[in-house]
Amino acid sequence: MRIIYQTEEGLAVVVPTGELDINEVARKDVPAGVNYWIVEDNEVPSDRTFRDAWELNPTDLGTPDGQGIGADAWFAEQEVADENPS
Amino acid sequence: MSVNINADTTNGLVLTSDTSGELKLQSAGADIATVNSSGITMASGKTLPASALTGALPAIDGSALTNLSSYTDSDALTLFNASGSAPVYACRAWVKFKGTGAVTINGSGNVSSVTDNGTGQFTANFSTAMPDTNYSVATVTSTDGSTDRGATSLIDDRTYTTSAIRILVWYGSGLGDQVNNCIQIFR
Repeated sequence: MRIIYQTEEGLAVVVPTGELDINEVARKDVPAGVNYWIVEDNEVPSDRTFRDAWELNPTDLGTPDGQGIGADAWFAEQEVADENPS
Repeated sequence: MSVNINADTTNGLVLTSDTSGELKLQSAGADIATVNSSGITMASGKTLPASALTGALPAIDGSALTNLSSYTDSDALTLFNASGSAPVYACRAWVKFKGTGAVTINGSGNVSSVTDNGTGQFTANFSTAMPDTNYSVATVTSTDGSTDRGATSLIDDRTYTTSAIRILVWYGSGLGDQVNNCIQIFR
């Protein structure tokens, strides 16, 4: 699975390593306030000839799977969770 | 023999006594634990469940404990097969990924993901943040061996934070995707 989101530079594709749950990766590694979509690997082109021209089409993708909170906020969440274990 | 405290299923509490100095806790006549001058021993097959060991441990005077191992800087050097006395600083995060075709993670440690930002532009995102941004980055890249043109990778300081590091992969005269890309973080 991949996480995709739009930036001013173009389309960003996040490839999780598997160390964290993909939903947590998306929340952490997508910038704060930016919509993201989780897609199958084969939905991202493997031909990178025109990589810098890739764009995200929200109409085709439908409702976003979520919105990033950014790494700083995510790490702050983890610190709170570590200090207050359930 | 021993002093027995038995929770009997017919008669309830059953006590037997002698002068052995040993005490046995029993359930339905079966030994559960034995207390004697050596300490406490659980009977065969009986254990203290981890769920029973909740709460905080009491403060312990370490000076009274024996059979504890302690480690020195020298032991750490030995552990890392390092000769001499120069200290060892461990890698805090690393990742190897394929940057051509479908970008693929080959291996990683303390890296949650790699963001493909475009041709020759990648970001390694840390699973656990670095203590500050004074860490050192080693990044290398290579072609697939089908060409003898050199490739190199550089730090892109647009993202050099406690949570991520971005690199540029250079090939020939511009940015280019390469097969093998490695990033290591030392602090």
